[in-house]
Amino acid sequence: MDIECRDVSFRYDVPGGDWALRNIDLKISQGEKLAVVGPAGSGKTTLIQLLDSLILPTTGDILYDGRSVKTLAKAKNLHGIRRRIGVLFQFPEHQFFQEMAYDELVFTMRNFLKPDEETIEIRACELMDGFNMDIDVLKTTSPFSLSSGEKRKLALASALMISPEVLILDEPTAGMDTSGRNELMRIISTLHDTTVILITHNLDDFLDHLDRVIGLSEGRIVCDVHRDAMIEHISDMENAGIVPPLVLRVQHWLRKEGIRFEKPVYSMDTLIVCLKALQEKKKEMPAR
Amino acid sequence: MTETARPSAVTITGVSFSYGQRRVLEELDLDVLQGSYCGIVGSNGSGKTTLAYLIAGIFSPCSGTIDTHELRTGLVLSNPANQVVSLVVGEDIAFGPENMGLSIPEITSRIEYALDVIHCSHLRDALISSLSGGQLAKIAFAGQLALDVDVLVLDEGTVMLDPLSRRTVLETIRELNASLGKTIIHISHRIDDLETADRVVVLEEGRISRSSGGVFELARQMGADGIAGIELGSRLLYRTFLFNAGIDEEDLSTATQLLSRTMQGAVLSH
Repeated sequence: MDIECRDVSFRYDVPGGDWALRNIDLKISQGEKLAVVGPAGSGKTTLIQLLDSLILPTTGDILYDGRSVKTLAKAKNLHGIRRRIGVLFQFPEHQFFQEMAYDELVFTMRNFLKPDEETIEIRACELMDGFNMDIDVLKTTSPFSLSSGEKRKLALASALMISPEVLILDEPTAGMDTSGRNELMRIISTLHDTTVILITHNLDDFLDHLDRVIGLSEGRIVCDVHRDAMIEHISDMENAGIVPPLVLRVQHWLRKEGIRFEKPVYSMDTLIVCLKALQEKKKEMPAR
Repeated sequence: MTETARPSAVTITGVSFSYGQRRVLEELDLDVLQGSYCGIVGSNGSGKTTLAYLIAGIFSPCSGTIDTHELRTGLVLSNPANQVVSLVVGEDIAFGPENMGLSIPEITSRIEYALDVIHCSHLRDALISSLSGGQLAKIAFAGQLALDVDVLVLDEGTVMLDPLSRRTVLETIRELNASLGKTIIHISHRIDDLETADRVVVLEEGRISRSSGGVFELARQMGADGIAGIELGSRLLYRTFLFNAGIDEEDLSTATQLLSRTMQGAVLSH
């Protein structure tokens, strides 16, 4: 599903409420992997609520495969869109309401697709194996008694149960340990045809899996840059209040010193391997 | 004052805790000295939040004892939404001081101080419902600042923050510790949050499995294999690499400049 925001602005209906988003123009093609970054209060969470049609633009319009969200809302036909979009919210416990974690996991699939219980359980087992969580334990555990990282994994798995066309992740790795984070990265890397829109403060974590980064500040888009071009835009990003990933900042600093890699490196582990190799080469060079 | 002369702020002795049949902490021992900055790292489900609740007195141990030596303890929760109680930011920060029976001028000055420290004075009259997740996390932190506690326990206190806000909060924690002598117990699974901690302990399978003099010592102990569930993060990975290359410089731009001098002339083939 292609998504297009056309001059979208949004204001919360509270006394003295300011514009949370202003004049957003954004095209997201099916299968793109993009991150939305920006300081606290820059409008990131509002943007994903709009993209999921949980709220409607105050002005402007959002088109899903060319169909206007406002027209769909008037026709009370938004459920068709929401069914194709999976969301992991910032505070996963806010989306829990079932007594047992397993029922939480399968709720969307059970109610949207209505398959038999055996099909549901096969899909649940397949997913939770990858997350290193035991289905039998989930059947006897309240979702609210899980640790914060486990709650996040459960909420993500619940969104993935119905194989959404668009997956929106709001701070998916906050509170997750390395193994959970690695699992998440592995899962994202398998979602070739799925559009992934993620909001994160840790661009370093995701850089390997992204096509594009959108920077927001005070409700406006201040940068929209392809990953491979980010090193050239480090200063622009910093000037807009966006902190670029350290792995790219280091390469930016190295370029200033005349050291340039053929292609940008997107993980710190890989960069350190490259730097060590350079040090070794220097050692092997005959002294002049 | 030497390390050995410092009195304890929190003494945990043989503490065990279970949720029903699920054992989370197992005869855990930990002594945190007054004025120290202790980092606690561990994977998801290792018992970090349970330990924070026990130290703050929200839970009682199933067995063992926790002594906070009559010091006042504050807690910043990993989910700030669970910590706010009022509709308006200023009122929320005032909640603690009001319940301590402080005078109105004192309460007002504490609200102003707490909001100023986190650069959020403009949010004083804002509705809590209008705040973003990151702003809410900063307000929860400000609420504890206004209480002027002796021991501040942070349970993943920076996970919702953008990099600049995270830096502000980490610098404030460092300041609270270094200048005001507050005892800090900072729980995290990102050990790069704990660069200024003077001690870092690892929580594994319900016990303290190792203790080190700081993140760099722990990073060297972890080596290439790491410790399950704990990550160094980009900054600490890079700083450890630089340190091993003989560059001990906190400013990474300057450090990179120094590093480049050791490499110039080598042929790049990546």
